[in-house]
Amino acid sequence: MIRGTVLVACALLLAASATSAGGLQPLLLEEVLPNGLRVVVAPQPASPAVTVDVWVQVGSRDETDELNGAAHFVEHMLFKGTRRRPVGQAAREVEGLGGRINASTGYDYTHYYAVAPAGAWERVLEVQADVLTDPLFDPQEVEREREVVLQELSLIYDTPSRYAFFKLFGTAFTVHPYRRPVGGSPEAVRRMSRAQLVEFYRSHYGPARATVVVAGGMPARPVLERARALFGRWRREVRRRERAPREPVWEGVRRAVEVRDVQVTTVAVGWLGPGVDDPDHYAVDVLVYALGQGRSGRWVRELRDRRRVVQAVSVGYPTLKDPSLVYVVATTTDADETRAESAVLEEVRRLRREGVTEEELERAKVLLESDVRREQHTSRGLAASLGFAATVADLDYHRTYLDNVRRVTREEVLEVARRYLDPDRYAVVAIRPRRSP
Amino acid sequence: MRLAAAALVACAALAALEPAHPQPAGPAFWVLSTGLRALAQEVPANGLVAVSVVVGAGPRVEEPGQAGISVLVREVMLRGTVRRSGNQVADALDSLGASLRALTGPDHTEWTLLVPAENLDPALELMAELLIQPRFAPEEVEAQRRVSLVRLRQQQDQPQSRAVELVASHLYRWHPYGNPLLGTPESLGRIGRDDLVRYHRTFYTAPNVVISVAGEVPAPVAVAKVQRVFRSLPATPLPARVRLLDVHERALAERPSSRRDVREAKDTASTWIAVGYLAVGVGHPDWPALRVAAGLLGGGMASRLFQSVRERAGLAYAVGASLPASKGPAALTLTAGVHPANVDRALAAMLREVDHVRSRGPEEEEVALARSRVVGLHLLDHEDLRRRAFYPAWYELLGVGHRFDRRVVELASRVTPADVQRVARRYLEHPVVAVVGPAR
Repeated sequence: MIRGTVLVACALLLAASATSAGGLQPLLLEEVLPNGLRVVVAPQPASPAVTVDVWVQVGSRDETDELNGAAHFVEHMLFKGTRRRPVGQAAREVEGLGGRINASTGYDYTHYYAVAPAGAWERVLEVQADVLTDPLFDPQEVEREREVVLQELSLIYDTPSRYAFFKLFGTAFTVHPYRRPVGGSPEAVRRMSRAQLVEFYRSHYGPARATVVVAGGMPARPVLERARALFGRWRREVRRRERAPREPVWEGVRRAVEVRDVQVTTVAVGWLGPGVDDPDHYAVDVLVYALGQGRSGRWVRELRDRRRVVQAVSVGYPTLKDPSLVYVVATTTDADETRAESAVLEEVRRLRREGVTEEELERAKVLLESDVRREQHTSRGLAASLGFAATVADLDYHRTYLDNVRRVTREEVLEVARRYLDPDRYAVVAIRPRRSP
Repeated sequence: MRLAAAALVACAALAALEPAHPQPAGPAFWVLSTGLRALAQEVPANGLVAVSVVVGAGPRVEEPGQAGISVLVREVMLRGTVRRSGNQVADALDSLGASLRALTGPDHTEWTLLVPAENLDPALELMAELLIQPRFAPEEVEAQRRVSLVRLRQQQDQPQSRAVELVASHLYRWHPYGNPLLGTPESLGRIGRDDLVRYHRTFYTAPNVVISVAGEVPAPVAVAKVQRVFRSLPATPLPARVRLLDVHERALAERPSSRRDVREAKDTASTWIAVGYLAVGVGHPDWPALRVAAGLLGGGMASRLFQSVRERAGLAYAVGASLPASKGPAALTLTAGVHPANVDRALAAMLREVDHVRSRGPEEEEVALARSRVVGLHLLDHEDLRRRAFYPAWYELLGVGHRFDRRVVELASRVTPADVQRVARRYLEHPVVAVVGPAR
């Protein structure tokens, strides 16, 4: 499971971690409260820290064209005061305890995480319960925050690799809500009213769509009891998440080109892959690792080192609830995307003929497994991994992920490469310099 | 300069497995006979071990005209050893489930390995081979040069990094900290293979390296492994010419006597503002108060800049302040990304907060908050095994000793509002202001 690109509430605290997966088996306490909220407690006795991470089943996929950006805007508004805590108070409290608090929004989820010294777990849990269940949406604050959100969208626009990612999803998907960028368009964000935001919050934030994960060096039982008391009184009926329309089979190539004041061309190519419920996605995760993760990825070697058509390349496949994209993003000094694109397609054809070698397969699995271990050694990483699994799949997904990865065979990798990576049906996005460099 | 002193200490060959300064809570410290300094701490960590090799190789020691050589050397080293090609090195690392991170800062290059404990031995061997016996194959040097030139252009496409780079180059003038980390197109074009070999031979030496291990391996076992694997790291002392003396340092980076403004036009959606003040190095008694000052100005959501520029005025999404730890004078830098129409308002708000701290001093409460934040973040940062291995080694290399990693918490806890006001008055006076974005 590879978590996708998300927007984060506060750029100061942006973390580097991008991959996550379940599989290691620390002792977990899990309970579904009478109101439907799920609590997961994962003690890491040696950890000096605690992470309280609240995951909500709401993301840009739950928006409409008119409300594109609402999930992210609401995420910002939750830090703008509650009845008990004026604007800034929640952050001040957590920071005063020596911690930090932040949130991020993706296609399928929004989560609010606070990390603090382990001894502060109770106060942090109280702050999180208040922030999540009792936001004010003060009208003046909505207007101020609107400018902040618009500014965040500009920063994404100015970072070609991040912008290319959302642009690729927007080009690839025509029907499914993944076509709308997380964060929305500036036009929609400008138009959204306070009433619409409040309504969006009311209809999507409720105990039945939330999971509270607490991981780290805190005591397990008292945490569970306190979480019951704090979140158990949260009452709000929310409707179940609607199914999104299925993306039809693509015809041919979908292309979008933008010309900008940049010196380097950014190219992204993507194919429609499986969603998290499809067992194929384990083989696709392994394939993506074999092609472009770590230092030995085949496409890094072929495209950057041997053919020298690109100067940097990465391969990704964010795990999503519904069919996601397998994508390559590269930068090149060429004036346009032609050479890089055809080199990628040649590699795709070769992959569909030969698959990956036994050595590549084993290496990809070892690398994937050690990435999982790496992420889960901190309270923040473990909490994120558990919350993500509970939100887009279930905790079993976390428990069985690595076993499923270990079972992937060369034949399965070849099969998924042939099934999903079609050299005649793909989406491509290019951000080109105004003049050839 | 402290580095010279550290290298001398190293000559006193100590019994390898006897900790020089036993510390129950922190890492154990050894100075090996070659002058190599080693640190080790046993920590439960999901079956992982982190090894951080910190080398005194960064812009600080770059010769004039060779800006970017530290990063170039690092990248070419990853492209092969005398025994293995770059691909073989990469295959071997990935097969061990090892991730290797190579980063360069003003004073150092860090090589940090994270590996499952059961693969520590082969991973350590590989790392030593990479660091001690790089091949510097001419075709790889050329290949890397091409990649580096593109990275350089890509970085200039980003208004944020460009603004910060402009501040550094104007603030430091002749001091090597003003060198762009990746170099310039001219310097990258000029540096030859021989330069790389010479640089490596000069700086990748035992007295100029600190190695630190943290994770699921007993400390004495870890240091024995380090000693064995890195025994052929040459014991050559650093040549006198690269030891920057305090007096020279002050002359090279003189504190500005008036504000300087730099503008660069770029057709982007937002404009970036960077405001830099020349401050002091990590060993200076004023550094902890400056660290707290940076925190209360722009570290976190409760900070002054966040509150005034973002929360109250809605002018920016990203706004903050930072003061790195460096051997020589560090820059306290404020940054904000704003709508092009709001540059003047945002800049005025940023400077007003600094002036306010200078003239009226901070509130007791906000200093307390900034202190807690420095202390808490220190602890949270050490939750990551790689950081836990890295920090003590880095401070050791910077000349303040590995124990500074714990002392920094104590020093920050003692900072008062008066201290903050005093250092603000002394250092936060004449900034270099860089603005990168659409022309007006």
